[in-house]
Order: sequence, then structure tokens, then C-alpha cells
Amino acid sequence: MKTISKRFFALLAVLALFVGCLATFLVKFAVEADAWVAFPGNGHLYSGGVLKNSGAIFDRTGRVLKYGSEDGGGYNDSEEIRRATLHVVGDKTGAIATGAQTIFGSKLSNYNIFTGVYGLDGSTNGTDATDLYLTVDAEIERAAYKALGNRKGAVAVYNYKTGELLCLVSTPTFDPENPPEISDDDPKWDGVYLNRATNGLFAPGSIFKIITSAAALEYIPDIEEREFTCTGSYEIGPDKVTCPNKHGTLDFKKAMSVSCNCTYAQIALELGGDKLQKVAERAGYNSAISYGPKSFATSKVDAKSASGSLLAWAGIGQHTDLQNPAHMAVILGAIANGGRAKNPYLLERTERGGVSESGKSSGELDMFSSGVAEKLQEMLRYNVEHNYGSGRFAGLTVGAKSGTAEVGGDKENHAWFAGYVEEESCPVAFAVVVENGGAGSSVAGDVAGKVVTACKKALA
Amino acid sequence: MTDMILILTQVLRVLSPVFIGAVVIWCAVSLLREKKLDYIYATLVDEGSGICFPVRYLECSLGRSASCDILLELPTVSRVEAVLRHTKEGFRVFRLGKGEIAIGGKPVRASGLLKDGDTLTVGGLSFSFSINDRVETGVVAKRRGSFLMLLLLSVYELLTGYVAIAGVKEELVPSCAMAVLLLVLSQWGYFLYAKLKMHQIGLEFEIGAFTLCGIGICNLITAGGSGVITQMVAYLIGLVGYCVVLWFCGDTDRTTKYRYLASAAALVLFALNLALGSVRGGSKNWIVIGSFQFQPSELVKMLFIFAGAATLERLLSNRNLLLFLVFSTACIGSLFLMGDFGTAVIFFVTFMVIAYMRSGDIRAIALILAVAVLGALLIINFKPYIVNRFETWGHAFDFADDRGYQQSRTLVAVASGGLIGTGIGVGRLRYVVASTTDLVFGMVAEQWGMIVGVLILSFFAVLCCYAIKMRKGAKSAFYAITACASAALLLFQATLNTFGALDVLPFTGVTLPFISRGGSSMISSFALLAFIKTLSPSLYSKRRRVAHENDL
Ligand SMILES: [Zn+2]
Repeated sequence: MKTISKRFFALLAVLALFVGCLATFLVKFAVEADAWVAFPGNGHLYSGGVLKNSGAIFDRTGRVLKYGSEDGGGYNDSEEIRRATLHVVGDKTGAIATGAQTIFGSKLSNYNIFTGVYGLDGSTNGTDATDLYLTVDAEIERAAYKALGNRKGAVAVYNYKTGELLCLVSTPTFDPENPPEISDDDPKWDGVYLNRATNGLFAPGSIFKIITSAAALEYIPDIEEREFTCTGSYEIGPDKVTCPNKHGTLDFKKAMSVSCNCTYAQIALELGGDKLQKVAERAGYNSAISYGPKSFATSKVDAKSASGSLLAWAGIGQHTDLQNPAHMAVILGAIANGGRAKNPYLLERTERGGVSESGKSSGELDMFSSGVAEKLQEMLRYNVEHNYGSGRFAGLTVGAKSGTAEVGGDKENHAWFAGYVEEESCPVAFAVVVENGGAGSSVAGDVAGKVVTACKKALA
Repeated sequence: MTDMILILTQVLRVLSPVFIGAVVIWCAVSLLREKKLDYIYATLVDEGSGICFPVRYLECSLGRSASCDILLELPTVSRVEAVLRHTKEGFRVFRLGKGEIAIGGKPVRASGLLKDGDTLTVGGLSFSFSINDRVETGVVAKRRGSFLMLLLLSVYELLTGYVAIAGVKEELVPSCAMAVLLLVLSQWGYFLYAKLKMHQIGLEFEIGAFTLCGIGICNLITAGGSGVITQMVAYLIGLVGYCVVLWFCGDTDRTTKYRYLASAAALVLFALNLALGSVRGGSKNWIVIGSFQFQPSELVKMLFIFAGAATLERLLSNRNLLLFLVFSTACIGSLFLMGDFGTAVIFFVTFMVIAYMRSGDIRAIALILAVAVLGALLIINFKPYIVNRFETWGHAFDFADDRGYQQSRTLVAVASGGLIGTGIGVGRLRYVVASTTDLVFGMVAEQWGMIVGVLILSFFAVLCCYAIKMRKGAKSAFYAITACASAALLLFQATLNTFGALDVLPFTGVTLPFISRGGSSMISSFALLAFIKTLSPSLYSKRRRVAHENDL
């Protein structure tokens, strides 16, 4: 019997497998359970995709955006605000998966891992619901929504001193109290359930020149003394990069302000893909930037593997570059804040029975060196003073860059406008994109002007 | 729902972890404190030198190899010369080596009966054999609590049943109520049978299994209440089967005789399955005859282990695994043909446990493992669609609305339950396909809470630890193998079921023993539990003691 009693290692192996699986699962359970319960298919908390019996969602000033009740609750009284904040709050069917009612679902329903979704009295939330205070401002949202009008697009505004996301508007939108019939293939409603500000990705076009400029300032020591010549077209092998007209002789600052493609193509080629990639990745490209429980859609740059004309295209924001609007606002905020961006966040605080808990996220993202940030500020201000005009920004000092991104086919270009306000009482950075809107500075710049004016009023 | 039910539901949320915890801890402590029998059954005294060799096992090997139980370090003795095994008639000597063996001067060819006072000649030495006829002592350890535990369990089952039945449709209330009453009565029936008729001492295995079955039945009621009677009938058959298996294994000569019949039955069942089987949930592993339906692969599990085990003299005389290998390949191959990959993996693990215990040949095992991995790779190469089944593994929420549907809903359910559960009858996983079978852990953890979920799994781990601990004191190599293989099978199957549904392992769709809905699974689980119980030192000795006393 001794012979056989020694042969039990297979049992130990099965036992080890069991213990390993159990430990793995319990760790996952402890860390992720509150994300799992927030899944909109969870019948304990949601009815038809909407939280039952949840707390209310307020904006930063305490305006109610949505209130809860057993049948799903209702929204703000103003139709404009309902439309403007639809994507940030969420709709009645739960189709907008990134709405605050979904991503903070476990908080709204007062979930804890000990008693699960029901308290010891067997009800969700008991008598006291948890309310959410978001960082967005309903008035800035309304202004952004009105400025976008019937066009598709997004506006993201970010307080670069605190990290608050003040505005995340996405169009097309609808009134959640009176949802329209939306058929899947209707181009009018294309991507209606997507929050373009946090989850959209667009070709960046010329606003990407901010990143190429940062790389040039970092790696080409005499860049500011250089002179460039633009003949309207720059040939790279069989391919060529063109400008709308001959820019002639120009320096670095001027090249940015007139957005000269020929100059930036040369700079990109001189830098090489590795350095451009390195600077872009430090600024948050190809990595997830979180704003609480979720992250912005990841902006993409693929310059490392590019060379020749592809590298030149990457340097002027075409090639395979993809840009998320909220991320762009954070980049501009980092520039305004000396190169370091406060972590963006959407949840200001939760309140339950008079007890409030902060949802702020501390920490910073190191995106640019302070020297580079300072030079970029100067160039961006120069753009506004000499090109876009400061008149539309309510008398505030603004630095900005426009972009007109080619989208291919016979479609109109995407219009971009991204910038920041240099003002102690109104420290905001913003990014605007208008899909197929045409020229960046006029179309998107106009929207940006209205949003900045609203910010000034709201933060005063 | 009345206030009464509402309050009871909340009370049970807190009470369940406490009660189930008490049961599982009681089982664990009681079982793992059990000591292997330290008893000398007989002695062999060297007539020349007077050295005494104690016979400490009912199956002993004699030889000069260090692994022999009775070590005869003589050049005239083979590595393993003989096996001394206790049979119904008494001790019997089986000749395995080439040397001469004689009893009372008469040479032994294959085997011979050794009686008290006989002289055994091995390798030129003579031993006088004497049987120790003192009653086995040390067996009756202090093991209390069975009665109290069963009493508490009955109360718990009635309370949970009452709460669960409040949620079912009116026309199903009588059948569900009957099932709960039958459950409690059958448990007391078994208790009386085991205590009064069989004089059993500890009932930890049974009470542990009853607790799991109770949760399973109650869970099935919360899923709507259909199929509860069928499940109850299977449970009763399983319980009777448990007693039959315990009785049947009491005589290892009998088990030896029926091994080949068991293998043949296993193969016939699989052949029938392949010929007549119907497809359910992607696998062709059901046989349906009129309104009667069963899963042959479940019944083959016990036949497989039974056929794979053997008494010591057979293990030592026939180290060749070939026949068992062919048999196992046929079984596992059939399961592949049926498309039941989960069960195929369970059989493979069981096969490895048995093969290693039988041969002790680590190289052969490594070789078999390598061949199996190679075979799996080849299958994947030729049938890449099999890989697609595992595509969602680890990413349930990325496929939340197609192939990750069941796993993601299970994760949502267990998270919703938290540690103490949503309350019995308040679960929502029941609306998902296979909630009472493949996803049953999710349903239980949702309603009873994660603490109870982990406790249930711990019971299977306790069985495995018990097999590891008690294998040394096994009365027969046959028991050691069946018990270890069964314990490994139950724990592995529970692991595969639970963690497959929870997206830690690939989702294969096997049942959770004792808890999942399914008659065949219930019956085979009870049979496997009986195999583990054969290790219990008190099981067959008490009866032998009674028989001994009757002889006097
Ligand atoms: Zn130019």
C-alpha cells in the first residue's frame, strides 16, 4: 500500500487549480463587482436600461439634470438643456452607454459588495438615494448645443486649473423626454448614441501641428531662427503635400499661424517618426486617459512606422492619425498650465443623507516640458492675434489653433478649433469639432467663440 | 409577497452564510480530524530469527523493494514477491515473483489461503502467520453532531423552501412543497438506516451532500418550480444508489469480478449515445426514450473510475496501462465525437489521476500528456471553429450580447448578490438560458451570496483533502484509487462549472455536482461520493466487528 499512497500529486494539481481559480476570481470580484452591477442589462437596478429608484444627477451649480423614481424618473425642465446634456446624462433606454447614469450606476444605486444591490431592508437605496453632482455646467452645455445647431459635432471644455470637465456636448442629439423614431441606417442619426466628445475619433488635420510643433521645439534647437520657403507644394518622391496658396518665405511662428503644410511636412521629415511618436505619446496619444470610471476614446498616432510622404502626412495630422475631442481639450489645458494637465474628471461629488463624498481625481499628466509649453502658448496666442482675430472671444486673451481635416471622398472637411483662455477667473481649454463643417477657423471657431463667452459668464 | 415572507427573506440572507458555514466547517473539521486506522491485522514471525513483521494493511506487498509494506532484504527474494490481501475467506497470498512460495509446505501457484497458524515459506525463509483477533480499536473516534446538524438542516430546508415556494405559480405549489417535504423525510430516513442498520459513525459526507442538494432543490424552485419532482426522484435514486455502491464496494473480490462488465457497459452506453443520441445545446450527449431521458456520459463517470481501479496484487502484477489506455481513449474519443468537450476534459483529468496511481510512472504520464496536447493542437488545426468557442474567454463583457451573454450575466448576477445575496427568490439570472445547470453557481451566489458560494465549493475541496489525507489508510488499493479519482473528478468538475461561468476558465457547460438540475448528474455525484466514503476507516470495520461478535 505504501507504493500507491505516494502517488497523489495529481490530486494536489487539481486542488491547486481550484485554489488558483478561486483566488483569481475573488480578486476580480473585489475590484470589479461595482462595474459589473452597473451593466445596463442588470435587472436588479435597471428597467429597460434605466436605473430604477436611483438618486438625482445635478450639474456643478446644482441644476437638476435628471431625477430618479421607480419608473425611471425625468429630466430638466428646459428642452434645450435636456438635448444638450443627453449624452452626458444618458437616455431613457440606456442606449447611450457612457451616460453618467450608467457609468456611475453603482454609486447612484448605492451598491456595496457586502449586501449587494439590496440593503439589509431588502430595498435598493433604502430611504436615502445617492445623488451625483457632475462637473459639467448646464449653461455652457446649452450654449455649445445651440452653437452646433443641426450640424454633427462635439464640444469639450475643461478647466485646466482643476481638471473639471465643464462641457461635453455631442450632436446629433434628441430630447430624452420625447425620443424620436430612429432607424439604424438613417444618416441623419448617424452615431446618435455616441458621445462624440468623450468617445468620438476624428482625423485631426492641422490641429495636430501643435504636437509636431512641440516635437520641433523639443528636438530642433534652432527651429525658431529657421526660415522656410513655401512654393505651394512640397514633393516627397512620387507624392506631394500642398498648401492652398504659396506662402513664400516664412518663419516657424508664421508657419503655424498660416498652417503651412509644406513647412510642417519638412519639419516632420527632419524630426523622423520616432521623435514625433515619442512627443505625441507623452501627450497622451495611444493611451487611455481616464476621467473617472471610464476613459476617453484613445487618440492614435502611428508615426513610428511611417517614413517619406506618410511621415509628412502624419506630421500634418492626416495619415492614420485619429483625435478624440476631449483629449484635445486636455492637451490645450496642459499647454496653458505649463505642460502638466490636471487629471480630467466628471464626478464632482456624491451626496447621500447629507454626507458628501468627493469624486475629484488628484494627479497630473505630464504632457510637455514647461519650456515647450511656454513657447506653444506664445505661438497659439499669435495665431489668434494675427489670424483668427480676438473679437469673438469676449475680450479674453485666447490661444488657439484651427484645423481643417480632409476626410476623403467628396465629403466636406471636418472643421476643428482648439484653444485655451488665459484668464485667472476663466481657466478653460476647449476643443470643437464640426463634422463635414468646412473651414476650421470660421465654422468651428465661431462655435468656440460662443462657448468661451458662455464660460466667461458661467464662471464669473 | 406577504410581510412574513419579506422579513424571512432578509433574515435568511444573514442566516444562510452562518448556517452553511457551520455545516461546511463541521464537515471539514470532523472529516480531516479522522485518523487512519493504526491496527495490526496479523503478524508474520520469522521462525529462524524470531523477527516479527506486522501486517498493517489489508493489502500488503512482500519483497525486497523499498516500497514494499513487508520488507525482506534478501537476495533470494524478488523485488515484489507476493501480495497478502484480505478477502472474504480471510487472508490470501498472491504470488507475483518467480521465487517459490509455500503454505504449510505446499507450494502456491497463483494464490493460496493463509490461515491462522500456517507457515509461509518465502525466499527460503519460513514465517509463522497469526491473525490478531482483537477487535479493531481506535476506530470509534469521538464524532458527534450528525443528529444536531441534520436537525438544523431540516429546519433550514423547510424555511428556505417556504420562502422559495412563495414565488412559484399556484399550480406548482403542491409539487414543490411535496419535494421539500420529501427531501427532509428522505434525509431522516437515511439517517435511521445508517445509524440503526449500518451502525455508521460519522455522516459528514451525507450531511454535506444533503445541504448542497437542499440548496439545489430550493434554487430550482426559485427558477419557477418546473422539473422539481423529476429532480427529487433523481435525488432519491441517487441516495439509494449511494447505499448500493457502499454495500457493493464492501467486497473487493466482487468489485474485481465486475470490472470488465463495467468497462463493457461504459462502452455500450457511449456507443448507444453516438448511435441514438440527440443534440442539446451543441452537444450530442442525451438519450431520449419516450419521456425518459438521460445523459450516458454522467453514468459512465462512475463506471470509468470503477473499471480503472484495482486491488494491489493486480496493480503490481500488471503494470501495463495499455488496456486501460485503450478503454480511456475510447471513452474520451466518444465524448469528442459528441461535442462534449467539458466532459471530455473531466474524463481526461480523471484518467491521469488513475493512470498515475496505477503505474507510478511519471514518464509515461508525461508522454500521455504530451500526446494529448499534440492531439488537441491537431484538432484545433483541422477544426479551427473549435477555437471560436473559446474566443470570448476572459472578455465576457466585450461579447455581452452574443457568445459572452451567459458569462456576463453570471458576473452581473454574482456582483448584484454581493457577499450575502439578494435573497432567495429575488434572483434575476433565472431568466438566462441554462441558469439551473451550467450557470447554477451564479444563481446560487446571486441569491445566497458569495460567502455561501465559496462555502459550497469548499465542500468539494474538503472531499479532495480528505482523499489525500486518508489514502494511506485505505483498506484496499481499489478504495484508494476510486476515492482519489472521484474526489479529483468532483472538485475538477465543480471548478470547471463555476469558473467557466465566471469567465475565469473557458465556458464548457458542465454541471455542478449535487446542485445543478439534471438527474443523471445527481445519480453519478452520489455514486462518486460513495467511492470517497470507502476510505473511511470506520465504514467496513464496524460491520466486520459486528460479524465477528456474532461468530462468537
Ligand atoms: Zn504653405
